[in-house]
Amino acid sequence: MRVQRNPELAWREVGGETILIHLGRKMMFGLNAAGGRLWAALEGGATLEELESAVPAEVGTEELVRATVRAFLADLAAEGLIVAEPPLQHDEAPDPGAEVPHAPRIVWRDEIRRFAGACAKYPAVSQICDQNPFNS
Amino acid sequence: MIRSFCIDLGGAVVELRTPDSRWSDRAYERFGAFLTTAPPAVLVEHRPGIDGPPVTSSPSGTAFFLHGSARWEHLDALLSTLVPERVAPSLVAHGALLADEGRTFLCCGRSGAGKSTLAQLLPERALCDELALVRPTGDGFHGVSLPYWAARPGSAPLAGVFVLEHAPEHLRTRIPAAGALRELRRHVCWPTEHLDAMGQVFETLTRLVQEVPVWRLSFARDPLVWDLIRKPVA
Repeated sequence: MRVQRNPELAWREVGGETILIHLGRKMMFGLNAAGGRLWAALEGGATLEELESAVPAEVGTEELVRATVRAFLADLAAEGLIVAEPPLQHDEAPDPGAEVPHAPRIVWRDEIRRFAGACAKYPAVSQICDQNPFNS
Repeated sequence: MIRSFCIDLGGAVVELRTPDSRWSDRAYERFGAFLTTAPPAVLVEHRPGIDGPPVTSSPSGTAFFLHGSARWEHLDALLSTLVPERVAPSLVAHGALLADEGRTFLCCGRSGAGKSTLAQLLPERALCDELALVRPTGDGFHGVSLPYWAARPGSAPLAGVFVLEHAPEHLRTRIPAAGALRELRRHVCWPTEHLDAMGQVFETLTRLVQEVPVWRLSFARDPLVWDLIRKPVA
């Protein structure tokens, strides 16, 4: 399996957290430190084996490492953050992360909403802010 | 008679044109402090005699038309939407901008968090109380006031960003960069229709939280809060 980042993304490491923005889906995500290491290992694409080697030893056995990586990749794929070939199905990768403190994880995700200050004051004309007035 | 004048919205120069003297007078009163003689990049034309949707645009996206069904609020909403689309690289924050000698402080918050309260407590310091522009410079950022709502023009290096909340006592608490980004993303105008512009806002925001201190500011209705705002980083 080969995994690549979705090119519709921007990302930055900020204060030890890796923050991703999916421009097409208008979503923002935060990865924990282990997730950030895996994300960095995806530079230029990576195989499962290459990604497994980027997981810290604290995670545990080889089997557990494999499970946490697959669960993380399944989460990333479900959010459209990566493209895997062949595709990775979420139900193929049950998440053992809850019992694995150093597992790579998406720690938060939030929708990005269009906002323009005047619309907060004028709900009656909020269509200007909710829709794109530039292509009407 | 057609009346026309240009205003500077943080670097986006907009020409306002209307045949309606009441609209013109109101627009002048509202935006008069932000007049400019610079050439406009965008035209907003009021066409009260034409039926149709309240707001339309030219195919090129450089002209906008407010038709007979448009109310004054449509103009205000259109202009505030236009700024984050047209001024790049920069971001528009939902915040009051305060100024010291040669420095600005951005005070963000949802409606009711205290932006207007703070501006009223510190009238000598307030440049605007609703929307402000944050513009990257070679060695940092500038805060630039926008004409929302009580506002006067002003711009200076940005020395701090505050996330506001009302409280019985003043308290300033530093927010680490990752938490600051997560907090401030709620107070930024995201131009969601333009992916490139969204990406630029993201870049600007990630730089901002790493280069400018971000604080949570709990404050009471007391102008002494100014001492806490301008207090240097320890």
